Amino acid sequence: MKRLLDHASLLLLALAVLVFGLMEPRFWSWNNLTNLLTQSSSAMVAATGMTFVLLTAGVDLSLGAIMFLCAAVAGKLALAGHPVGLCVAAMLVCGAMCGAVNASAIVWLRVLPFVVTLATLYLGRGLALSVTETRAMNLPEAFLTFGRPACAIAIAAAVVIAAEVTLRVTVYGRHLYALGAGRRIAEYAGLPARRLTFSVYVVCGACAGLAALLTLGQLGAVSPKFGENREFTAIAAAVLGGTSLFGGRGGVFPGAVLGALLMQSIESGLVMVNADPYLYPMIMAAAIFAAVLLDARRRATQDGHYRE
Amino acid sequence: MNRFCRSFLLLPLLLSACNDSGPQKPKIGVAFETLQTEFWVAGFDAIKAECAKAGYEAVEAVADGDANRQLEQVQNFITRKVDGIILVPKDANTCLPMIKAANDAGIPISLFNRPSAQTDAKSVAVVADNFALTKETVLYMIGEAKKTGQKHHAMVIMGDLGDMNAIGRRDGFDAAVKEAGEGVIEVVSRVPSEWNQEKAQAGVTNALQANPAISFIFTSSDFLLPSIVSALKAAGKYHKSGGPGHVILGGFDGDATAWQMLQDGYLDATGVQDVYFEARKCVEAVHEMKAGKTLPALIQDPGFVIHRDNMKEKAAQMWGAQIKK
Amino acid sequence: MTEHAAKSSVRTLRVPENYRGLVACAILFGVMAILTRDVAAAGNLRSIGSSVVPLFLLALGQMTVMISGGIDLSVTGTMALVSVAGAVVMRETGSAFAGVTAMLTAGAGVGMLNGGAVAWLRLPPFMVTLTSQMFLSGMAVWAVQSKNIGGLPAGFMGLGKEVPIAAGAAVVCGIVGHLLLRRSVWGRQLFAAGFNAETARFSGLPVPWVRIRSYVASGLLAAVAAVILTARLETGSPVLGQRMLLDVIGAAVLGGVSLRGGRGHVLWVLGGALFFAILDNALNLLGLSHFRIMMVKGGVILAAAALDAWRIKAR
Repeated sequence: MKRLLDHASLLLLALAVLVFGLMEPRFWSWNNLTNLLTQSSSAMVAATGMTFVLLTAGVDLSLGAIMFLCAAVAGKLALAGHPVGLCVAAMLVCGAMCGAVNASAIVWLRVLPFVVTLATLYLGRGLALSVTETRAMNLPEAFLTFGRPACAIAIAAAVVIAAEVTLRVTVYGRHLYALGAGRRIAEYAGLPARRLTFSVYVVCGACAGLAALLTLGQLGAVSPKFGENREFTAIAAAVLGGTSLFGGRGGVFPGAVLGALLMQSIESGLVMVNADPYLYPMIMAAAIFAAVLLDARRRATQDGHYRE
Repeated sequence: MNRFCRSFLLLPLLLSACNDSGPQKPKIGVAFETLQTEFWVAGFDAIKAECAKAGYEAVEAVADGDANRQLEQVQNFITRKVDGIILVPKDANTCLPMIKAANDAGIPISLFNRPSAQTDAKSVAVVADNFALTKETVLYMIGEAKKTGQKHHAMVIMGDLGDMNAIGRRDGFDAAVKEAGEGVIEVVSRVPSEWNQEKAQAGVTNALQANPAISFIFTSSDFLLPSIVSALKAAGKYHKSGGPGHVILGGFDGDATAWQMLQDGYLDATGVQDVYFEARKCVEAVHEMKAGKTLPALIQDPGFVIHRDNMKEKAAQMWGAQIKK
Repeated sequence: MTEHAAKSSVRTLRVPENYRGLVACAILFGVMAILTRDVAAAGNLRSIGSSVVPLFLLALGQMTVMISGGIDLSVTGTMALVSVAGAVVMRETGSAFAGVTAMLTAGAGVGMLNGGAVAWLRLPPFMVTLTSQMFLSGMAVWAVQSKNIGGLPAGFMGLGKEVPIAAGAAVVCGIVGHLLLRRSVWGRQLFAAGFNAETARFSGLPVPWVRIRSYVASGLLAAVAAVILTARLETGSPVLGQRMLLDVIGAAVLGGVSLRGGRGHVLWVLGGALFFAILDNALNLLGLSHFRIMMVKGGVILAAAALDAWRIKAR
């Protein structure tokens, strides 16, 4: 039983794929599965960035706002005639810079990540709306190439592999886990806590920029609601993948990837079986809740007591 | 509490004692729900131009989809003692307290493009007949469908059902299908977009996955066209008319994207609302109500359907064709 | 709240901790009034009053939950569901009383569910309230199929229209909240549980019940806020107060409520909510667009938090 609970999200994913496939065989088609991967590519990248932050027991509530800002910047550059390559580079730089702003306030001003990223959420959305003048922008068709299955999946895979390797193999990755598991102890052990903390927010910001690119590739436009609530779906995906909100535990593969896939397959599955669209949020919420519950049960049986 | 605190807390009381606002140029408060589509942007610019022509200064406010914020913005207009208010309601019900507040303050108020729910409160709404215009657009599309001699699976993308216009367009679509679609059109998918591009894109993509044979699409607003194009391209179904595999596509509003797609042959028809007419009538209504005239509660924007057969003559009237990108 | 003797030279400027927020509001108001006379107009003061009430109520609930070391992200979803449920009940029965009762009960019920999940199922509050937010707002939209419900009984609409009634409700809630927090056993238990849950449990405190009570309070206050907003907009709306979540947490944080738990005071929340309300209103009158105002709010939160962190370090 414990072994089963260990892989709650994987089970739920398998269950979802099975059930939806039985209800509508087209769900199992190669076309649809590719579609699934493509549609979840942006969420995977966002969840990967968020995982880095969560591992250090932090949080980044400004992820969606950073996405919006990066998209707005890219849109303005593109519509002014600049080449797509420049726009993409600008998005990544913008994302990393926003992450650096978060990181600076957290590390130097010593303000809680929750509060800092809440403030930068306001700042970021406001700035992006100001850049776009609250209007929608239709981007040149060149951006749609990033939404093509091959491109989107390749980018997401590259990010995921790079992240996973970093976390599992490198010293930096091990230090991140140590930092999340116990900040004081890590500091006493001589870990460069401030540098580590700074880096994860920059990584998260850059991932936000990439996630924005992938979303742009699918939508082809930036609207005032771009990136709204994406930080929450990224957190949900990371947590569903086994990352703890309190740091020190979790990962990108299967972690964040699994969480993002689970959420996307539920969404796509519901559409495929022609479920009432008004039910989607409720079913999604129930699924996330179930996964969180199973995960808590597992930790309870494992640790013997519940860590607050 | 020491003396210092107490004196500070007296400050607001002192200041409320003195309040005055000197003589200024007459102002019209323009409160929009959103600027997220070309239609609203064009409307906003048109209203500002009309205000300037009539000698008013336009004071802007955008609520970004929040009815509560819109109420606060209208109340602020009233505080600033504007001479008139032009409002784009978020929905038909939440604008009622705003209209009543304007009535109580004696400030004339007109509604741009969207009507309010039934009420005794006084306002003038300038709206197009969404039902009739949509029905006419869809009837044309069905005519094109009949020419192909095949049966078509149809998808309709609906707007936010809190918006009376969206409901009118949905009903117009259904009425047209009922009247002329027998045997030719089968509606297999209804996508609720809630006027949100991401929702529309996801909904259309997944609907195409579930029903690959869809060949007839009507969108309740042209601003959702880029999302639809993206989904069609991903499914390999984006083809010009006249060629094989063309998906009959129709929309509503008449924006620049629609104009371009119409010219290129991807779009078959769209219902055009006359933005300039509506803007002019709104400003005129506020001006006349201020002078004491009583006006009808509803002013009709005639609107028209533009399609490939009448493209050339109607281009001059279509606002989307006039806007240079 | 002791004065530090070392700072005797500036002792006259020491503001008692609880009133700092309100003093800041008064200063803000003063500055704004200089920039634009409209801020101080009687009609505008009523505007500020009516916009601060729902924010204050929600932030009060948020503080209650935060003191016990949790967070409630589901308040706007609760408002939406309550608004819709109340509107439906009122349309069916024509009675404002039935509607309000239904709304308050629904709010408390939601609080029970949230609290139960956090306390008995031992799930992290962030995730629980995140999923309930999704669930509740989804349910509200599904229940009315995206449509608003108008035509509410006249008696009900009076509740939101007249500022004195709404303000009265806020004052009552504030006073009751303060008494419960500072002068009752429940309040002491709440602070204890937030300060150190393990110690509290070993001392025999029924920590799960303490937590549940805080979520019920939050749900109930969200329901009261929903009553006022629904009456003000004269519409039962499934998207009521959608954007308010950020402002609610922002107001609580600005007021100085600690996310780690164990600290909080009604006046702090009032200060935070009022500050935001005045900022919103005055900047709007000055012609700033709502996104510029968003940026200012973000800057204010950051500045206040940085000041607070610096103060703690400097002590």
